[in-house]
Amino acid sequence: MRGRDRINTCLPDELVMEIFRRLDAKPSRDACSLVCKRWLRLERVSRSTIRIGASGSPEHFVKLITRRFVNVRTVHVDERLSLPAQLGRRPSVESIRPLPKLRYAKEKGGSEGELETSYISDAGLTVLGEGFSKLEKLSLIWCNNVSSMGLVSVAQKCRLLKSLDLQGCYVGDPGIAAVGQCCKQLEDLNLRFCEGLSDTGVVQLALGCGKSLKSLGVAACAKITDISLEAVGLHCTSLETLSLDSEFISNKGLLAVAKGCPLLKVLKLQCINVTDEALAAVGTCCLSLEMLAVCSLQKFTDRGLRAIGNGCKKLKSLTLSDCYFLSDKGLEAIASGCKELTHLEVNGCHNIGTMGLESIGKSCQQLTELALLFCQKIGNNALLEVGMGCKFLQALHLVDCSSIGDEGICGIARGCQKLKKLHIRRCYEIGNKGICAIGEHCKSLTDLSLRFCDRVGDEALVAIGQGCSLYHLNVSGCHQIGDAGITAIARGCPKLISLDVSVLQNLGDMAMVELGEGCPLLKEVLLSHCHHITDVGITHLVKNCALLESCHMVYCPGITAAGVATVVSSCPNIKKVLVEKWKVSQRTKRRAGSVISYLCMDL
Amino acid sequence: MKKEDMVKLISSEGFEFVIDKDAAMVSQTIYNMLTSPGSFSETQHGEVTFPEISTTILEKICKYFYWHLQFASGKETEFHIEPELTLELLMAANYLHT
Repeated sequence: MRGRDRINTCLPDELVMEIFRRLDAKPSRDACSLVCKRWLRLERVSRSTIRIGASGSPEHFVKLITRRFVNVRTVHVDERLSLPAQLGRRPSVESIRPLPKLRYAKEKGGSEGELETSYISDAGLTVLGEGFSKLEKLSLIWCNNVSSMGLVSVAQKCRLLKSLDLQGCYVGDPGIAAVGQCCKQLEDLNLRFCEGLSDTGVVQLALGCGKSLKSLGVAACAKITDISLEAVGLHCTSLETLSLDSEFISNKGLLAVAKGCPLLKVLKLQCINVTDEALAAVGTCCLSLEMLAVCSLQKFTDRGLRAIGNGCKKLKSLTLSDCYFLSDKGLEAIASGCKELTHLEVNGCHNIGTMGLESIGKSCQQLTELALLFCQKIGNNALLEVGMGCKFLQALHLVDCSSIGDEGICGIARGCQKLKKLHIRRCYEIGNKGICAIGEHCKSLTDLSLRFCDRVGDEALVAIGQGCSLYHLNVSGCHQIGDAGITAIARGCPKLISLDVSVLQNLGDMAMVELGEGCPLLKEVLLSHCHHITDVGITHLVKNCALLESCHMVYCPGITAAGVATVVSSCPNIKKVLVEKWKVSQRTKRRAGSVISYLCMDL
Repeated sequence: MKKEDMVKLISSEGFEFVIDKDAAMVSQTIYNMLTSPGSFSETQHGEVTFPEISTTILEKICKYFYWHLQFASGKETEFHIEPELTLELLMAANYLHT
């Protein structure tokens, strides 16, 4: 078929669009639109998702977009991101390229060409609403200039809206009320950090589209109180997901929701004033609950947790964060009641100890992910029980659990042979013995992170290199690890994609050479604070690792401007380099200005 | 193998493929042709000509029909498509609405 364009002449338009609809990745779509004018036209017609950051002239921009991409159903506007202005190079950020005349609002000789951004306003939103009348999903993230007026016009024009995310936008009640009136198919609503909203607006919303609403999120809105929740409980009978982060909500509101929304599946609470009473109601009424996450509920005790354990038999995921009064008894109730538990996280609940976790190990056979953070009272026996009972465990996170040592890790290794992810941070009792056991038994391990574990050394990495084919490895802060360990990894894990060896003082250039030879698929390398790695090592590394996208090398006295230049020039895919400002020569800055991030302090 | 349960699919070169009616009905277009209340001559004679579909492609399509019937009845096997055929197969599939 060489030399002749058979495809374009044979395929009709609708088939080409069918093919484009199956393209998931934006780079693929962009590549297709560059082929010819016909493909450009068809790709634009079939594009359904647009992402916009903060741009130079939003109204103009939006007008252009609405004219070009007529079938868009999803729009994400995230004004935390601004389009970088690059001289002579395509922007490598996930957003639409503006026309060249919009790109450089201000350009001074020698500077990086910082784009002057202004934020999308109500007028821009009106244009958006008029242009994309079939819009189904709209995200306006931290759009400072948007107010109720803009939201009203969008609501009126886009009646098919299903999902609305207003995180960080200072809209007022009239806007939300209009959404309630006009968007009768609304299913998802996110009002996190919408400080302009009050009960009036939310009540109107609940009245208007309560029947269709399935998911609601509210955070840091001082004027939204129990009254809003009572309206939600009354009208939003199909509610499945609720996320609340507020000091102004108390039991009254939550009780109303528990009683009114029996189909609740996901509940996330960070409300200081909520007590056992409300959670007991959840345990009695919300029998379909699958996921519960409670954070900083200071008045939550075993009584509430027991009610959950008794009632919510379908619970799959439980996160307990910073709830001081929860103890082993509460966790035992969960263990005996919620046999289908797959995810458990205990974070900073200082009264939960070994016994609670033992009961989980005995009863929750389906556990796939376990996270224990800052749990000083949990000891090795807990992990031994988990190892014996939870054969399907895939991920284990341990942070600052000073009572857990090698014995516990060996128990996990022997019992949970399907383990894929192991993240350990600052558990000073864990050493080589435990990690060697992991290397011996857990052949499916792909993601290993051992941070600041003083007693782990090269021996452990040798065992891991022999037994597991890792994709991700992080051994930052494990001072005993040196060239021997990393060499073993380089030889044993050819599929390695990301490596973090920050703060390792015993690591030198030999390891870098081995990595360059053994791990050609490396995309991310973090070497900060490695005092013995020099330009020689880094050169050998990047010579073979052609796919490298990200490199952090601050506080490495052995690496000079030459090394940085080599990294930039050898890696065609490089997207991020973190280094000291004075190590970047003018030439390197010209070649890859936007890719380089600097350390904030002057060194 | 009664005559009423078979249909004949004719390719552009004149090759005739005689297959079961059930198999042919996998294609929405053929289904409509054979079951419409109007007077398609195809309905009467049990023959459908495809002047735009070549023999190799039509053969592959017939194989696909039978594979589809097997797949629908539970047997999950693979249907391999040679890369050279893809373009024409795609257009034929679009025409046959299958």
